[in-house]
Amino acid sequence: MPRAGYRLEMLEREILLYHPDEPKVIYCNETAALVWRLCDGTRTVREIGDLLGRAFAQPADRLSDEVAGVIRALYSSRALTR
Amino acid sequence: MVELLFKRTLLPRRRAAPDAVFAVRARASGPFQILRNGTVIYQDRDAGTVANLLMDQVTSRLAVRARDGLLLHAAAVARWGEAIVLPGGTEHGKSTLAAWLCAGEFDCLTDELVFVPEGTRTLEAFARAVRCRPDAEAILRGRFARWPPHAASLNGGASTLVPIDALRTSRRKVPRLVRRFLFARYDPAGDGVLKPLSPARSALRLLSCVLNAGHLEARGVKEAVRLARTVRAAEITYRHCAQVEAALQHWLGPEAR
Repeated sequence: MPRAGYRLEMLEREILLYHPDEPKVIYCNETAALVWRLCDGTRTVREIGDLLGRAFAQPADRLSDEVAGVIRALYSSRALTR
Repeated sequence: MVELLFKRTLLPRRRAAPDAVFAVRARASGPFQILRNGTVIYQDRDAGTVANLLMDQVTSRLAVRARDGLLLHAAAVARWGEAIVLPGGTEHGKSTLAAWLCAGEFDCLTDELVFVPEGTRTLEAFARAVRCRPDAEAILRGRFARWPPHAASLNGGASTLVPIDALRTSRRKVPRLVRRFLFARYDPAGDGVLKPLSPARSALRLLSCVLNAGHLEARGVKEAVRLARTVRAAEITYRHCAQVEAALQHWLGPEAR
């Protein structure tokens, strides 16, 4: 789920994530921005992949890998927490 | 020396007590001295070295203290009333590029610092002398009819300081509105192709050039995002300044003189 205090700036379909107390700013493309918004602490990677698959009319299993990659990157950037 | 460095530097509209007072002392037989608040902080017999250091001292002092707006590590040039800001880190070639462009139809606004007051698109350029390092001079010699391009230029401290007036030909009023951000970086393998940036990528690049983030709300993110939404931006890696000049001319398009 999103780490407390993180803020989001949406610019067209991309977003910037940042914590006001930290110098780092995280850029998310359209897919990563959607993943971030869908990470609410209850949905699984598979469920997020399903939702994106329906939105983009693509097989969910193909998107699940991408979703997992985005979640790993956001987690290692400390924008997501368990 | 002070006139060479800061003749065109604008004074703030709101006068406040100075944060620091710098002075240069020149004695007939002794070294030049830089004083900060009355105390000698540096001395050297070479005027160019002292001038370079004084410029650095003043610049870094401004960077540390600037508030109520984004202070960007950036050069800025103008053409036909449009201000183009060239944000970039040290060694990105900002000064060389600004000088090159200003031998043509652009006017130099600054080679180092741009301040954009909060909530505006106006530009306050820190118009100091332009610093040209030896590798830049090798490039610029062929661009100007003579080098250095102004008799008052000062050599020393491993660079030549050129009065900014030597890089301004237009009599137009200095533009104050930011029209473009161009993130240009010298790269021996650069393709010279100008690539438009999305607002998010532009904001991210701007943030990497903000010098006073610690004094700003959300470390300047809000302001950078606001500017990125309203000012078109592009990036280019170049191996020769002429590539940037051509790309800029195409990007800005024809315009009535």
